Amino acid sequence: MPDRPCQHFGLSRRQALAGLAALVVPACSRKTAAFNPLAPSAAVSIARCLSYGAELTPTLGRMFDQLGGLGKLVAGKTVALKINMTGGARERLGSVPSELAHFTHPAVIGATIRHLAAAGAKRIRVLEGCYVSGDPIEEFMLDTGWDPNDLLNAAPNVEMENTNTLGHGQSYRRLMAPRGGYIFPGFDFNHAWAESDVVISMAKLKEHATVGITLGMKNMFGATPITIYGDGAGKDEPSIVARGGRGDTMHEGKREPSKSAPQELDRSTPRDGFYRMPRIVVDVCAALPVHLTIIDGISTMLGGEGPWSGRTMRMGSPGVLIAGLNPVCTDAVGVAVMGYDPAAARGQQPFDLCDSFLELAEARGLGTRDLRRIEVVGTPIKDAVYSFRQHRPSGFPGTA
Amino acid sequence: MTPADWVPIEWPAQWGAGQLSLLRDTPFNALAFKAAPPPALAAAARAAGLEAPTLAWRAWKEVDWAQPGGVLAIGNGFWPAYSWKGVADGSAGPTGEPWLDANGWLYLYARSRGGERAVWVSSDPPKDPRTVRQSHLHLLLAEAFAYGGRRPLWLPPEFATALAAGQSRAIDDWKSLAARARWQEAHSAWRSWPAVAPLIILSDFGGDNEYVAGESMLLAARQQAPFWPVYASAAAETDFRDRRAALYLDQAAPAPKLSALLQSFARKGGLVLIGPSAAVGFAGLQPVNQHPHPRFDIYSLGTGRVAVARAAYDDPWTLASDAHLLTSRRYDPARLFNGGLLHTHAASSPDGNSSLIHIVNYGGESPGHQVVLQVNRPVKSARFHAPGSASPVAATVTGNPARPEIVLPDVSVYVGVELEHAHA
Repeated sequence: MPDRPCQHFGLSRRQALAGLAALVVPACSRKTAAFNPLAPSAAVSIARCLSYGAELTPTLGRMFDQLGGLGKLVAGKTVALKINMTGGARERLGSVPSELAHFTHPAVIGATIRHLAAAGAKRIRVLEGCYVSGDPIEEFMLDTGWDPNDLLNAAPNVEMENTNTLGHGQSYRRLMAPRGGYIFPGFDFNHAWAESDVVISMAKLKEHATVGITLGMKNMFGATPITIYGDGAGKDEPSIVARGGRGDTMHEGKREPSKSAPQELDRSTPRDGFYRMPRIVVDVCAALPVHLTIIDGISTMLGGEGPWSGRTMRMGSPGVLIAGLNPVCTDAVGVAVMGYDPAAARGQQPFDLCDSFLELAEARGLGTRDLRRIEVVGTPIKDAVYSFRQHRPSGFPGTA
Repeated sequence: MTPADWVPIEWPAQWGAGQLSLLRDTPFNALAFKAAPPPALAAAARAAGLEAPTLAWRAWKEVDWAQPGGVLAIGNGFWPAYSWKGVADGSAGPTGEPWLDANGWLYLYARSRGGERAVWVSSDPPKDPRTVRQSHLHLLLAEAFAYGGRRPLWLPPEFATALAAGQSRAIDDWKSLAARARWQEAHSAWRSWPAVAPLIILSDFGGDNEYVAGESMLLAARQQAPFWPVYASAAAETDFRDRRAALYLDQAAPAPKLSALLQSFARKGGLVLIGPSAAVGFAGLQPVNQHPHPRFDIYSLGTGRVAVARAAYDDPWTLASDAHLLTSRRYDPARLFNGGLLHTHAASSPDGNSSLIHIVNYGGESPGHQVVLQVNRPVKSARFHAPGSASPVAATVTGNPARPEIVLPDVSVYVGVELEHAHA
């Protein structure tokens, strides 16, 4: 059994942060994998699941049991679910409903809500920063063809909030990354994140144009409010109206977030998304620790994070669910299931063009990507592998 | 032939009586002029069995709605197109998205105010007529048809000249336009089908209310929020069945009869949105225990709600968005996935058994993605209608039966999707 110095079960967000601060080692560029032996590890569960039908709920239940049970994590707690609804509500890959291609499937969200309620969660918040919008998340769901009542009625005390704005809060809440982060020392978030005891990242098993892959960690990038970090954010104070994506402020670094929020540590660093975004992903996950990651890989798209990716995209059916208590470990296993090496560095698949946020996160002590140190329970990785590159007709630009 | 049957063409300046023969075997049967028609030409037209009416073109805010007449001629519509101006420098609007200059709202407004009168909308052509493509001319006709009006067909000068000279390509293009107009007239009954609109916009549309009322309609349309405008004084004649919300725009309190009507609508489950000074007569409002809305105080009244704005309306874009979201997209009759520059307008057959989703492409070219239509009522069968297709084509209905979906064929300018509903 590998050691698990920071499983987060039973730890509050602040306790987890304090633990992480002691584990940081300097980040450095490597061509060959050099792991941080101090980075924590936690078990990751893999399960084959071929559909969003009747098998889904019991499968998730077995996975949570394999991780030690949800009760210890959520009983009596307020739980935040960061779902993935990236892009516009009405953008589809061909005619395929978004939940089969690039959104976390509502069936997975609903099943998780029911498990959380059964495990004693006091309050369940479904959260997302809906694309360039401050509209209520319920209305965003309706616009994508979902019925939010399916989720709101899945258990008692379920609520939703679009965290792109101030929302229902009175003020933004500041959460700082231990040791200052790579790009940002911390972030100002919608109140719902800071007022939740447990954060669950519910991601899709996907590649990503800028950071190579988007799983549990990259999913959390969408928690940053665009009233502060969006292209239309207020200069001095957060804007009232949510407007624009996060391209200028975050990806390209062309402008600063609202001055009211923590500013970049060093504006002489490259204004390059392939450099910045992996680091910002780590900074967000350091400031806003994830206690449980659930990755929906039952049905997904290959070739990018959304229909706009501009590459050769197609649908895929990995038929797999992945869940784990440490976001780095869980994403590392997810990368392996996608047929990639989680120890890959920049220039190696899937990080062909960008730095590896897994490497950067491990260096910061958030978790290990060393598969030898990660206990995989349930289906072995070798039996779950679904090679994204082999199932795609052509490779990424910039690769042979 | 009544004005409702007139199919207008804006008579090109360089055309004379000799070009009347071009209208032979086309549905165009009325010559439209911005000023009084030249007497000799009008006489020649009448001799050829055509109409050349004298029209009182007005800006939409200046129309005398009480004036009797066969045609409501509104001369200050938009040239329908997407405007990319301001996108690069961020001045395009609150969303940063390109503006759609479209006339659907104006057709609906004129139909609502004008009763049985035929609605014609025109506008100035683009400054450089050489930028006008054939698809733009088809769009002029299709947009008007979809929203229940007519647009006098304007021809670019070079095209009109080429047509008069009998150039073969111009003749082919002319035949194509005539074929579209003919197809539309064959389906003219659809023009009178009532709009499916969960939201009613109520105003006197004049005086101090004119700006907010006009902009709210325009901007609601740009946000694809389905609505039906109603002149406040005529609200008693309005059918509130199947409506979900009523937005009362005027600053003054509604007249007692209308106030009672709105409160009754709320008590029966509707939502009334109203300004702070206009809500004074509403009685029995109970605060709703929910997360506060940034701009409205929400009250319950009977089984419905009343949303009272905290401040006078001053931002029509935000007001239109608030009204749409408080009504809820749940009641949008149709939405398009990957719709891009396509817009929808839903209408219902008079008996309610069928509906028609008009889909208009403002982009001038086929969308690059597969477009899917989703509707919010169960569907028994669906058919595509489009010019160029001799008979309607059966459509495949898929997805959740409560929110059925239909993959659209190529929509270069227009397609109508006729739906037979399962629970009619």
